[in-house]
Amino acid sequence: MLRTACIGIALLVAAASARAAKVGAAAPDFSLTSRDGKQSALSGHKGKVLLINFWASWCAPCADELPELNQLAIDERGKEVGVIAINVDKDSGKARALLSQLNLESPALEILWDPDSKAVAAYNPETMPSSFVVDAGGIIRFVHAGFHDRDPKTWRKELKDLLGSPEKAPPGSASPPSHS
Amino acid sequence: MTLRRAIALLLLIGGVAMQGCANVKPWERETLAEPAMQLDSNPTVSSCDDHIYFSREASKGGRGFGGGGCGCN
Repeated sequence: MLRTACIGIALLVAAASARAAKVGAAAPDFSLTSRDGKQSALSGHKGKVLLINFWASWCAPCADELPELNQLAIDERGKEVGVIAINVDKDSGKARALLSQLNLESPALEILWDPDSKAVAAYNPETMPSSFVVDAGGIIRFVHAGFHDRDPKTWRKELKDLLGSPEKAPPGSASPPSHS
Repeated sequence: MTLRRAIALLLLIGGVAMQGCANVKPWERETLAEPAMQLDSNPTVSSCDDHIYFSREASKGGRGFGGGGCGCN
């Protein structure tokens, strides 16, 4: 009886802590609407090294991170790199207002809307914001939970490493997740 | 026998009470992030504390800056 209860509790805990997108796993595909109303899918970026970020208008660190992501997209322009920022707001109006406030009305990074939480649920990030660095083969290589001042430097190093030798890049988590 | 009944009753009450618990995912915390949801009697002091933590640990949010309980960062 006690054993059954323990197994049941362990299964519940395991189910609650299950993560869909882990380092070394294939990045879940998605098809979302972009700022200009077009559909954009992960499969459409095949062959590129990607940084996929999840953000929200109500998340304060996200507002600090977005300009850094946009700068990254500018710096990596012309390379086989894509910087995708997926917004998880139910109401995209708030997100557009934040972008306007940050002078990112026409950003270099690709902004996608996920009002139904389809993509974010598939990636299941631990916190907001979170970023997933995906290699050219579609495998998640690094996960960044939250935003820290050291992150822009780390992103560049990871992208450079993956562009150089995608098959040799060691999988690992670059920044330890921090919780509040 | 009485102890068993008491334990069974406690488990039953606990089980019923836990029906109200929900796991709020990080991307579902918009309402929790509103300042009105913050359990903070002195936001000014908390903001200063956050500044100190940011200066020392170079991390932002999580306790006031991101709003109440959004769990950001």
